[in-house]
Amino acid sequence: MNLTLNHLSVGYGRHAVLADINAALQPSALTMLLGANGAGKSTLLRTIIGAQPPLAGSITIDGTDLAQLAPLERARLISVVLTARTGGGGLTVNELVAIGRHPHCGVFGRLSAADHQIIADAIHAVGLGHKAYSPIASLSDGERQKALIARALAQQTPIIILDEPTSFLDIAARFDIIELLSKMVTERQTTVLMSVHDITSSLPYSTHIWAIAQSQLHTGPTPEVIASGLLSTLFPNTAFNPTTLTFHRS
Amino acid sequence: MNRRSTSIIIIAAATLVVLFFLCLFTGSVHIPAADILSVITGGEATRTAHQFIILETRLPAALAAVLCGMALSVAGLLMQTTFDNPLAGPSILGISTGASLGVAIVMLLCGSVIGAWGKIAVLGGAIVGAAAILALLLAMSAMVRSAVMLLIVGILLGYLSSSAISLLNFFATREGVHAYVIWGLGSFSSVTLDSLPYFAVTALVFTLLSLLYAKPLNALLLGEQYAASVGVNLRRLRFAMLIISGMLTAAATAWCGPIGFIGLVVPHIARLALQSSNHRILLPATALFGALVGALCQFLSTIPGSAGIIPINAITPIIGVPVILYIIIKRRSIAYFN
Repeated sequence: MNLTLNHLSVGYGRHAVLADINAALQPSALTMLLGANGAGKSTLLRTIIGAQPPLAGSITIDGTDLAQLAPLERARLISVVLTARTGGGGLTVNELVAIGRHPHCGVFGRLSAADHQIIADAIHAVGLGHKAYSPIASLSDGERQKALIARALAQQTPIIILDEPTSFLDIAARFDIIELLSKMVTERQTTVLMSVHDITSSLPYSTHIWAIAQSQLHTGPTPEVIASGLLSTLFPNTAFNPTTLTFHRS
Repeated sequence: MNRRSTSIIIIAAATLVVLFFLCLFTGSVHIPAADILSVITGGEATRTAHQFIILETRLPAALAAVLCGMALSVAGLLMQTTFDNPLAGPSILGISTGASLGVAIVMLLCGSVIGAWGKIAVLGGAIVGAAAILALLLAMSAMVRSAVMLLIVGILLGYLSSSAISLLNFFATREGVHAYVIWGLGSFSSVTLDSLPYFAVTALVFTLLSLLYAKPLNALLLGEQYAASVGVNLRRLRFAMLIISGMLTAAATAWCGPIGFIGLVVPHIARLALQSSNHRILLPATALFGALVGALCQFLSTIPGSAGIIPINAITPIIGVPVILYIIIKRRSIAYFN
């Protein structure tokens, strides 16, 4: 699955946050979207998942314009995990993950034996097997986010897009989630695009980087981007140390 | 569905049956139990007057109570999920008030219309009124994307309708105002046997139709972006929910008057009882609990016996307010709020 941005401008109203960007998402890779607050990471991701229309240009998957797809067709190609804490506290983990099967089952949402297996596998993959029948409200923030990721896994889409999925999680849960995504890439050839705040802990797992600096989107394999020194231009007065993968005051 | 939920459903269904029969037993005239049983099993009562009271008054009132409770509760659940607001309900979104405005126009401007045509005119007024508010809400929903803002729009439209009703009352005749005030008290007893089938069909068809939307409604619990990401067509879903909940509210309001609290409270009772917000069981359970609460209100309203009938809207807050207060106080420990 090749997702490409063609002369894409994203933003709100007449104000373009990013203008005329061209990029291709590396298939079967974990691409990390980096940039300062307000650089347009969320706006770009929201546009790619169809939550807001592009101001200009298009997003295509294998040549098909995403804007031409029905919501259901899009849901079979791209699954989504967001930062915001969600409702649904009255659902069990199993019921929440079952929502990921919606694009694949009929009007009544009746699940086949195969669907149930996929749901169980997804719950086990994120390590929530022991909580499958617990209400979402009883989970910690980290477990809740894992359940939402299990839902994305159960959706079985070739592309998963995550907008700062680990922002409210402790460091152990962050590693759990990024390792899980990294495994999805190697084992199922899933294409992952995720934005993160905590660059240092996630960077070793990424294969590619999309970095927004000075309203431009720069892309490339992770080692090349690190070597180019681009990461030192991401944040004002903040330099990146390529050996320790940490930021410091410049 | 787990064993606990199954037993709650069975108990609720049994309670509904008991309350339904209690509604037939109580009323302004004392009728022996043997007569009631023989009439509803197709036999005859010892006195024709008793037979008439049971078939023409008590049975339609009990059925109307059950249907009205069901319709308003399902409408309330659909609105709460669609607007992502636990305090949404037919009366809060202004749809009840819109229906009332339609009825007020018919009753207050056309004088005291009597007989079959009057009933039809009142129903027509309610549907047109509810549809007008719905159409406005739909038009606004294209401009106002936020569910909370749309809810506020609904509340404002409700206020506008209320002020229009007050103005109509000011200029109307004494008889017209009297008829409207009586209707406004809310009553299941005003439903006649010959008009009951139309109410039953409307209430049942739209309740069954709502069951088709259990799947997208579950997805909507996660928020609009997640729902869209699993293929829910948000605009179409919102449109369908406004139509279904609007028709249920209009029908209930036209036949029984503007009844408050049931649509707001029953979905919460159902969620608390089942400890779940999965619409696949929550929707049918809300319909069942709504029917139960409707029958309970009707039974309570007839308890004074020969002294008269208590208005339904004097009873619903007594049931509704404690539930709402409980929910507000306990909200941190209630799963579906978290």
